[in-house]
Amino acid sequence: MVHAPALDQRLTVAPSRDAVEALAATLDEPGWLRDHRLSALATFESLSWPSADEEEWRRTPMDGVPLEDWELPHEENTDPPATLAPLGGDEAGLLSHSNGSTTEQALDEALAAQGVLLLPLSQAAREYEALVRAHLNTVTPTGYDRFTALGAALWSQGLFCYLPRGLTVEQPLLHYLGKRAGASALGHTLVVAEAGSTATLIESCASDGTSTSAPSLTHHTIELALDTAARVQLARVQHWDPATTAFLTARARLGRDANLLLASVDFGARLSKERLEIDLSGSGSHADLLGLFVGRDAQHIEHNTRQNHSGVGGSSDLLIKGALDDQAAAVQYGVIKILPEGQKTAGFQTMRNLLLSEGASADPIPVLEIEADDVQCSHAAAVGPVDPDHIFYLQSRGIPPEPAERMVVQGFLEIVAQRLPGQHLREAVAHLIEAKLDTPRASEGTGP
Amino acid sequence: MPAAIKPDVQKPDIKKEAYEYGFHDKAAAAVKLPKGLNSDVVNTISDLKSEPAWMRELRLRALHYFEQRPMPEWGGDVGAIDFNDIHYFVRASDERDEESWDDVPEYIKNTYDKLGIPEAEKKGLLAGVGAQYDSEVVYHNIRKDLEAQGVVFLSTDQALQDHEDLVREHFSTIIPPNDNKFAALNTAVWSGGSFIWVPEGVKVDIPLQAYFRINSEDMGQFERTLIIAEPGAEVHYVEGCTAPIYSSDSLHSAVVEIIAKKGANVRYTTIQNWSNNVYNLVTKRAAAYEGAVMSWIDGNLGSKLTMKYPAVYLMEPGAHGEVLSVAFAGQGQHQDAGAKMVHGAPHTSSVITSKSLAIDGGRTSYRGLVKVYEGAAGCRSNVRCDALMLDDQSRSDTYPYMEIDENRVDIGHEATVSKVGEEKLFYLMSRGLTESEATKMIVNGFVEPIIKELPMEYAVELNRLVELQMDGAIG
Repeated sequence: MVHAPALDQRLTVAPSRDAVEALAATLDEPGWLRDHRLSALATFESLSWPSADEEEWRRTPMDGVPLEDWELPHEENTDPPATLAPLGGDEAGLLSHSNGSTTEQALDEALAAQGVLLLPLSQAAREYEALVRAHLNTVTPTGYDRFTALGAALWSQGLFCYLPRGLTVEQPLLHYLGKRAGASALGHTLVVAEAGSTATLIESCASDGTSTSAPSLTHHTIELALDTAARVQLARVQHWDPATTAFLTARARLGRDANLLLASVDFGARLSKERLEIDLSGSGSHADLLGLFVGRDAQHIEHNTRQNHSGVGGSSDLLIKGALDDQAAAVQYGVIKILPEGQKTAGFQTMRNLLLSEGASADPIPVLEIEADDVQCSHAAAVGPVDPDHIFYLQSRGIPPEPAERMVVQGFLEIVAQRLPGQHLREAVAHLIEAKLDTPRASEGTGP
Repeated sequence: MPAAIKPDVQKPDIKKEAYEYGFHDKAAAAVKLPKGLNSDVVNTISDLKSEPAWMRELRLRALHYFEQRPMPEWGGDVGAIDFNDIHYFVRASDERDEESWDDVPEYIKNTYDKLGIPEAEKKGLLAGVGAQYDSEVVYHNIRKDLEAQGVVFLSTDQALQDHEDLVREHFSTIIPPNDNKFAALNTAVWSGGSFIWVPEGVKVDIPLQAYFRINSEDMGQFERTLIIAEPGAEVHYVEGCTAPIYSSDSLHSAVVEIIAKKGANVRYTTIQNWSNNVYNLVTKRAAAYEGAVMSWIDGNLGSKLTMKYPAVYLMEPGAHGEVLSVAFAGQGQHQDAGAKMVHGAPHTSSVITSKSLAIDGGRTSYRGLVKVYEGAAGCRSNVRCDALMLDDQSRSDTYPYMEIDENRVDIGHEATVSKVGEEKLFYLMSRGLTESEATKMIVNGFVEPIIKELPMEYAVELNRLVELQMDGAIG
């Protein structure tokens, strides 16, 4: 029996009608959104969890992934986690979520006056019903898989960002997502960019906790709907605690001449699996997909990407680079799909993995499926240790071997980091890379 | 929204050359088992071949695995194969495995004459020849000097009679009967194929060749080839395959096992030109030991669907594996081909080079795996796949799997897909070539790295097969 939650109450949730209705009431949501959640719940109940029979799940170690009995808190007045990297200073607006509730909300007044929206998704559903209804779960259907259905039924950390036609937001918009150790989190980000609009959104998520914290699950859905010639950059920095299993489903639909940069930077979580999928149906549209990660201990860091080209003259470029130490493992399964109508397309994929220890491993799998002939497609994947020639060169310049290796690793990751939007973000990521590489090995600490 | 941009260069009207080996011989077979597969069929095949009990038991065990295993759901579409509508054994003639062409029945000889065999043998281009017609080998010969050095080149059926211990020691050790559904099928009903044993240090300087021909309708050919190269031995084996064009589909499901011992050098070349009604589902795998070199040269031109990924298991330090693959898919064809390199020991190396061409709605898929086990330090692997699309009806896929569990390695993969470059065409046309000539020249250049690795007569053959026929070309 699940009880209706009150504010500031911790609860363990089984996905149920009662739980959905209680959440919708707590977030003061309109009836249409509650009904939308209930229909997602029905979808959730009709689906099974993804299995190893599916190509994109074959390499995902699902043992130890908590698939029931999540603690989904709704706590007000909680402090953001200490590990949450501050990215601010020059932001045009921000929204903070922590432990299931909105803790901070701000937007430049001039932008608000011009019609920009940066709101909790529940509030937007109440105040801008037509706009939200027209877009919610149109880029990522609730039934995409059981995780997205779960998220659609029970998300509590939602963001809605609306960019009016032709408007440029110069400074970044920030979205902070925090939780305490042991708590699970379900979130949803919906960005609607009208024709000719421009903006940058940076999401940072983190939790305090250790590998011995109670296991928890996060799932976040990102939907990006870019109309003609809209330009959006979305970068996400993931720093969940090491007892968290983190799933991300980020999908974008690009209109004609739209331009998207979607970047994911991963440091945390015991298992991180990110689906980054771009539908380049608009002719002349362009997408950059970036992935950057540092894996330590027994972390599993996985990217499943899709660059779907059905528009004429589109282009897309994927670059994923990561360093893996200890027993960390990485998987990249990325597909460039060019449909027969996607002529004059250029699609590229690069996946590079640095293995810093004997126990580390990487499975980069760049897949091409090409049904049009007038295309330029290529991919490259590589796995290997730090190039001894590079170390030798630095040593010949008087740098001892260990700092030399560190410099090479940082230089390797820097190639991706420098393509991230915003000086504050680039600095924060550089700092996080250094901190992650500096963390003593788990085996050098308390035990094996 | 602008209308779809039209290609600004008119495409030359090119297509794959018409299949010229589509004739079939109407002579009645000596033995033809009824369609369908069950333990009676397997027992009958074993009876007809007077096999030892262990082989019969292996066949029956494999039949069980075949029945248990589901059809593969990846790769090409194998759903239309009806295992009950296939003859699993067809003996063309009671005169079998002859050592002289004069003793081969006239109608079979005619077939091979039309295919240009044994022209190559007559010219002394080959060290030995085997010819398989439907289920069994009808002709076999080997140069006397090689025989004197102890080289064994027989049909696998004959080898089982003459060298049972050698066969038993190695058979199904590289590809176990339960490896996959089609390997299980082959193990249950195998017939024919070549058995080669090269003694220590013996170098067979010119290729041994086998020629495979399916003649009967609704026929399954399941040859089984086993090559053992003792330490320091060298051998090059070449096989070619053709079949008549029937309205119904045939199945070719071979198993090839190769053991390259310390320092051995084995090269296995296939020019597969089955007619477009043949399902070609083949398992080929080699184990390469210390310092051995194993290379697969794999040309896939024919068949309706080919699923074939020659593998090298690099078992000891210094072993080197190589796959050179060229695939050409025309109308109604899917070439799902690739390679598998398994690095199980330190300081092993591998190279995969794949070139594929798709035209007239054909589909080429490169599917490959590079696996490096933990502890296999100092491994190097380089994979290079290039695909050329010759029109907008065709499809090209690249599925390069990599599983790297060791950090002290150097593993790289690169692939490109493109159409015939307009700049290159423009350059050649500015030198006076027609567009069709220029396209042909670019295609020839594209497959050149493979062609140059082939024995001469095969290079000529492949070049001719890849040659594009132009109808009403510009200029």
